[in-house]
Amino acid sequence: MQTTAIKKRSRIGNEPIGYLFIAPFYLFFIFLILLPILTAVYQSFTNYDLYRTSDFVGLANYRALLKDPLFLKSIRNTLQYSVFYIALSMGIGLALALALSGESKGYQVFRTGFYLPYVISMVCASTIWLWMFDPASGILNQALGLFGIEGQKWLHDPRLAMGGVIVVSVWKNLGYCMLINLSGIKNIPAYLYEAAEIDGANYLQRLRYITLPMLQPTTFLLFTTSLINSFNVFEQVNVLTGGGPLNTTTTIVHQIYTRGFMEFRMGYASALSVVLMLIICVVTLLNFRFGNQGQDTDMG
Amino acid sequence: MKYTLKTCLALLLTGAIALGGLAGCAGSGTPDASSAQSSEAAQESVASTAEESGTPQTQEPVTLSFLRTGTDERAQKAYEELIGQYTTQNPQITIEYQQYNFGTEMETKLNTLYASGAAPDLVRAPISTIAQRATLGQYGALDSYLEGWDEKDQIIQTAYDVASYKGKCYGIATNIAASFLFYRKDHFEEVGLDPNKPPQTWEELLEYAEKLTVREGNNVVRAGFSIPIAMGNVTIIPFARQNGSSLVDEEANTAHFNDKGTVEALDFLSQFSSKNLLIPYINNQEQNPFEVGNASITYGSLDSYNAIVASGVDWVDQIMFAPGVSRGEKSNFGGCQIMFMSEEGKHKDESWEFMKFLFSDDSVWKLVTDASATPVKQALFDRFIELNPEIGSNYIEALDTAEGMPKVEWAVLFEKYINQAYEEAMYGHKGAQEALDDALEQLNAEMGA
Repeated sequence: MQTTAIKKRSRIGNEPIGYLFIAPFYLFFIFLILLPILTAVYQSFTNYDLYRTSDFVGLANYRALLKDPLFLKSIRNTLQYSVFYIALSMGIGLALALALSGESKGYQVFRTGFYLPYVISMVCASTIWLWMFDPASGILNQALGLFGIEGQKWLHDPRLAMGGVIVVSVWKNLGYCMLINLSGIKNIPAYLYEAAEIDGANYLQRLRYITLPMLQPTTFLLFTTSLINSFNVFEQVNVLTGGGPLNTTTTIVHQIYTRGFMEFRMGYASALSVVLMLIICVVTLLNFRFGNQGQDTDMG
Repeated sequence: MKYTLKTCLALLLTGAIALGGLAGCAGSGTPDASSAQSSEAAQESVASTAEESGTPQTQEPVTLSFLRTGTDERAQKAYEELIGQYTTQNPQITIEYQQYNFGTEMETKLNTLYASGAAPDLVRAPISTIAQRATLGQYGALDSYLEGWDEKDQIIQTAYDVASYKGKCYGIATNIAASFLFYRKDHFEEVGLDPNKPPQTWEELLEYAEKLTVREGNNVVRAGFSIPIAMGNVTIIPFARQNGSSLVDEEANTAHFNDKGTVEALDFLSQFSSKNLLIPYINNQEQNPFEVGNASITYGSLDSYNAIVASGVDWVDQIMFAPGVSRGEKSNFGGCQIMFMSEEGKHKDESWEFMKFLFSDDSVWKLVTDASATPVKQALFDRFIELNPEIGSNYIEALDTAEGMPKVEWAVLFEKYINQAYEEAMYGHKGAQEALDDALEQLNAEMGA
């Protein structure tokens, strides 16, 4: 016993500086990540109203969630958004990366152009698109008019509104997907392509048997980050549609915001947050379990 | 000793983060634009001006905190100048002025301040806050102060009415954004309507809108009468009141907005959508098409008129004004900004003195001219009409019939569900009666929850 204690002391005693160096990270993690999460979990069992009331209500918030049509609708909307957002931004991002992986100045100009939307804020991007979607004087309807096509109500049409939100998000994130894919493509050893060419492989075969398998770690990274981003979608919804029309674009985070900060039902909003956190955890774990991560890809 | 530099660095970083965390927990200072007025120069200056202004002198230095909702730069400048004047006249008074945006930012700040025992002495906030915060004991009643105020009767009654709740007056309105009818003279003439005869009834409004609407194919490019497709509480409320509905019973603390008056009003408004007379927009989120020249008639306020003028459009002189339509009753929506005093304020007498200064003729007129506020004193009406010959009389008339949101503790939920019903009816998702029945049922369920 005594020997163990001495050993422990001496281990700490020998490297106190190490603990000091990792302390900032742990302080940050504990105070700005862990504590807020634990507080939200605790508040999800209360009727906290942002002021005085904070009584323990057990599972009442969670029971109410299951009967809340808006919550169920927000889950459906979020899933719909996620599927299209991830598929389109990753698919088009990959296509752009393949098309723009050359080295000449022209490619650089296009790459910069496609990446630019990623660096502007989502609120700015959404506001610009809001003008473009305007049914009376927006550029989209004007462009349709040039071809004799009748204008649409876009974000005010329950059938088109979610599509509009997805288009803005994909447009904004395209540059990021392209850039990450580009870096993945650049890391593929050139001799693999040379060997394939000698073997007579055409472009599609090289794409299928070399590029895509070698990009698997990149694809995994993009899929995971896009998935988390898509479940957290809020800004564009809030600016473009406010969750409407007829709640066709309300998402889980939009509901959290509305319930917590507009209706002062912070306990209920915390319960929503906990459910969202669990959904993201489960989906991410499934992704890690079945996503393969490209670990078995032979990097040559 | 080899670790000395690293140790210092690590300690410094750790300390900085720990302090940062603590600082984050502490009360924050000044978010948007705050200015602690009352400079040293003011301290040295004119004690005599205080006597001239008739403001009683407090001997001890006093610091008042004043939190205003709204971030308009013109209004900010006007308030800062007024505070400067007051603190110059009263060098023992310091006023810490802060302003916050409407909605979440303001609510969160007020909640934090009241919950932490740091209640601001003075708050200028919207009418929607009164029921909840008066009930919670955050706003203090002003009745005893008003009794002894010799200028009490010079303030228009509406300014007191909107600030009263359950028989007590909790504040005085500085601004009543009464809405009134805006319409385009050139559009009227274009379709053969007499611009000197604006619509006065619901039927006329619909008839005029049908004539004035311009479409390209099926797409409306100019709305006859512009109303929002969503977040339309400020539209349905006055129309329901015009039709004899009170929407809620403030005394009984219940809602009844599925009554005949409201159903008819919503049914009427939804016709503008079903007959394809609208360019859809979301209130408070998108610009009213009228403001960019894409509508012929709408309800607007002084603020929206000033915004149109400021935008530099060349058709400003084509805008004409009228008090609005009616049906049995007259009613216009009036968003109100009210000066409140905190019940927990530490310097209530000094706060009241500053409020009196804010409601002096000169101060009110400064807010009218510099910040588009309402001339809430009868004596200023003539000057106001002289200043705004086109708008003046229509606005003053609308002021008489302006009513804001119902004063109930559950105003936020009321707004949510009346908006839900409005949107469902406007999109033709449900009939007016069904939409309002469902909304009321859900409101009652949530209030009972």
